[in-house]
Amino acid sequence: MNEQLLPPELVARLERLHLATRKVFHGRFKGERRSRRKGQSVEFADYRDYVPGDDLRFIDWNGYARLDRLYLKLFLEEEDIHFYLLLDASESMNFGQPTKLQWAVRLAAALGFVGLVRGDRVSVHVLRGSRVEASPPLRGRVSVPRLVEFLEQVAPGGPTDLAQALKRFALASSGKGIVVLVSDLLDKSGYEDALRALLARELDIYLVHVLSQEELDPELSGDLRLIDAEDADVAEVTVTVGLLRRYKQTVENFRRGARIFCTRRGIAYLGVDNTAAMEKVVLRHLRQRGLVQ
Amino acid sequence: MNFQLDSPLGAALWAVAVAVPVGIVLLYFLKLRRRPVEVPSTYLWLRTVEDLHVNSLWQRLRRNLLLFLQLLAAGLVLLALLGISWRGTRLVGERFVLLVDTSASMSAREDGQTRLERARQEALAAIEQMDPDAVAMIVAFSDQAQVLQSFTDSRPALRAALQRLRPTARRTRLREALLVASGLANPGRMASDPTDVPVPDPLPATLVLLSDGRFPVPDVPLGNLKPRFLPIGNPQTQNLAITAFQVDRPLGQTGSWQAFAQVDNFGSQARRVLVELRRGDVLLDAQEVEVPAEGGTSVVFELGQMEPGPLELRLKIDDALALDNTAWAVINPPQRADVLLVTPGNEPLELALQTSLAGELCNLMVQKPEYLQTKEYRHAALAGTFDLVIFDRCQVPLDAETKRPLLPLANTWHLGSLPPLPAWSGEGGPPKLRQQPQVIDLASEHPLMQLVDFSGVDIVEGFSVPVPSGGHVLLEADTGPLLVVAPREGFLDLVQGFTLIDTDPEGQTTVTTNWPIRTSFPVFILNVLQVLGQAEQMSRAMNLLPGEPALLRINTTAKELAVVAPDGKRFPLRRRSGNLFSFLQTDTPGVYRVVAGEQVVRWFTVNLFDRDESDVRARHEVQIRHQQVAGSAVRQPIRRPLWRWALLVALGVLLVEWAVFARRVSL
Repeated sequence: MNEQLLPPELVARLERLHLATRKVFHGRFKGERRSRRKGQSVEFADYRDYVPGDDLRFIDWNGYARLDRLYLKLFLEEEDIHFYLLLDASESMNFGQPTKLQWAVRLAAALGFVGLVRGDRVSVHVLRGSRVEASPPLRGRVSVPRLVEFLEQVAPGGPTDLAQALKRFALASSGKGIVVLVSDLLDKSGYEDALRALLARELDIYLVHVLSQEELDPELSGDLRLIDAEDADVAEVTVTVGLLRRYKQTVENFRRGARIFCTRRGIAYLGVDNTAAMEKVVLRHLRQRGLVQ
Repeated sequence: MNFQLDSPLGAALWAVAVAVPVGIVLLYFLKLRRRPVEVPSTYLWLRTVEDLHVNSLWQRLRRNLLLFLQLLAAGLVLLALLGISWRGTRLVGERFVLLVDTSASMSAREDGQTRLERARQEALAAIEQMDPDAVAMIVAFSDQAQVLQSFTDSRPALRAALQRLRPTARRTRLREALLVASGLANPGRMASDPTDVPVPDPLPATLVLLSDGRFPVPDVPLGNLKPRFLPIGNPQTQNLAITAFQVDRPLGQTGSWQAFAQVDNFGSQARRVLVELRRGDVLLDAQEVEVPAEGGTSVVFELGQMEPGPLELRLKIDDALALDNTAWAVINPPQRADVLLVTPGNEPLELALQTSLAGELCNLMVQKPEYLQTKEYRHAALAGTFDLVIFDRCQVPLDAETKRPLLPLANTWHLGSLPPLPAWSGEGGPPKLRQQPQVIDLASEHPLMQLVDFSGVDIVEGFSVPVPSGGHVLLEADTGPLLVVAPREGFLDLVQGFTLIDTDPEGQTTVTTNWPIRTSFPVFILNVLQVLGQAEQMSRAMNLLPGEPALLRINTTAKELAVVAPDGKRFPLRRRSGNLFSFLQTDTPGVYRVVAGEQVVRWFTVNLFDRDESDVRARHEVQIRHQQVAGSAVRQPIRRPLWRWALLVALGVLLVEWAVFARRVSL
């Protein structure tokens, strides 16, 4: 196992976690994950009145003996869930120290590990331009090396076309499950259409918006010719204190706009930078947002 | 304002100069090489500068601000090189003396402002156009000169001095102001002995005279002063004025009073005017009179019995000068002159002083010459007890303490003797008696000699009276002056070179002239009582010109006296000696009250009775000594170069350009 992607001390902590979802999904297979759906397991959940047609096996006969009324015993359903990890691997993600993509891969590894050890189906989709490169669905702890191997192969390149890529993903995937999208959202055509494409499906969507320190607080000055790494677009600017102040305000507005867009549509938003500690992100921020428990 | 070009550059150099801004533009396009930097995305940067590009023209301007500033600076330098200048005016000279007339005539209103305001404006304009290193002094003058600001190059100080200019009601006498100015310009005149007194270098100066030109010709040499006359006022301005006003009792009438006034017209058109005589708020009488052009008319008001108090005469007219449209006169409480006659015996004189009319005017005290040796006389002489002391054939004694002649603090009349003062000593030695001097001339215009006719008067013998400085000869004989009056520290001494009678050692009295039996003698005695005894002023009240000092003799036991001026200001009255008081603050025309507590003890008036001041037609040429000075614009046309300013602004623009570059305002 690659210790850079999954350090042992992080793995030790991740093993105690499991993925959670804020929506009720039907898994394809029984899993180790407790569902909000009531079902067949050994863990008692609740009683309810018997109605004709209920499975007689779940009637609480002891209760009927004492109370002379029919009650049905409900048990927590344990099932699996499809966990999609979407990584933006456009050229713009190849900036920062570590690069935003490297950071995204580490997060994917950590979350993928949590999903695999809890028996969920995990698949990684790399968005490069309008293309989507997906890993095969992985399941079970045994698939962790394969996940790591796949993630190690992820390399940056190409422009960002989030809208097209996510549309493709939405059409190709069966739909239900948890989606974690890690991207910098630096798409000149906008991120809104892309996220709307995901919303069409019944997915529990998490957006991890990662920006590098160089983007948040650029150390630039003077007359510059800024060249876009993705499309070689040129912006001529004279960077002054005033312009930097303005730029930071723009970045802040950009992040706030994304957060508001997501919140209004039930997408959990987490804005981070590329130096954020993985433990803190997973164990605190994503736990607060209900992705892991 | 005419612009003029005078470039120091030739055509070739101009080609180079014009190439500079072109070069700046070319360099601007060449110089901007931006450093390429690869960024993840220009998305956020483009969004940042998006709103800055909303107004593209402004943004282009902002982006090119440095270019524009550089071009502006280059343009200004080119403008400076053009040698551009404009025609302006300037006071040519290094040292100026501004003499500003503040006399009464400068209060005349023309075109909504007084002449003094106009003079102030002209002086301010002159100061503004002086050379930066030129100095000026400001002297305000009327019948006295006041240095408002000595030589300075400080414009604020000069402007402040001009703001301190105040109009006066005084006459115009340029002499003093010229002396002040020429004292600085011609310092050699101030040193009496150039061998041991260091004489400063003369400081030639331009004398700028701002006046309406209404003043007598001053007899002051200008020396290094170069006079320039800036006439203030219109030569056509017309004015009506009261030039005389007094109340008197007609001769022979003891009870009733008359008021006389003279109204003059200083204009080319005859005018009718209503003349009002008031007493306080009560209108006593009014007359409408026709005043001929360039002439005058007299007005007489019969007043009948009058109580003491002030009278006011008003011209109901709105003309250029308001100061002379009102005049005041006062009937004072009756008060007789105190006259001391010291004589060994002079019946004709005593008789003349005791007529009924003379008795109304004076309280006579007759003493023998021995009285002059008494302490009583000494006390009276020093206390100013008498208004007039007549020394008939007796010498003024020497003071036992000071060993100086004990002349009384009063007017004196010496018959047959001279006052023991150096001024009267003449060529030295006792005056020689001449037999039968023949009267050849008589100063009939003098108040003492009014209505005095000397025809038929024979004089047996007399001596020639020396004439002290400031003295007037009243009676001139073929042997020399016989009757002379001269001032002595505010008093008048009348010296008569012949006696009326003579007494020989045996005591026999002989008549030495037939004058006492002529009608002219009692007339002369009345003149003496009125003028020297000030009996006249006792009833008619003293009239002064504005600024003239008032010398008052008031018999009073009051410890403190005060004078209430026409504007209500109260001045304590300074006791000069004995019963004599002097008062100097007589600048405002009107009625002045001398009060003891709240009780009025005396009135006197100050009136502007000056034909020169009332004739407000400005002169455009004046004469100073023998030099005619024509009115002219004081400022001379010059070229004012603008290139300094252009360079200064260019420097400022470069500084701004540097600041803009340093702060990188252009985004």
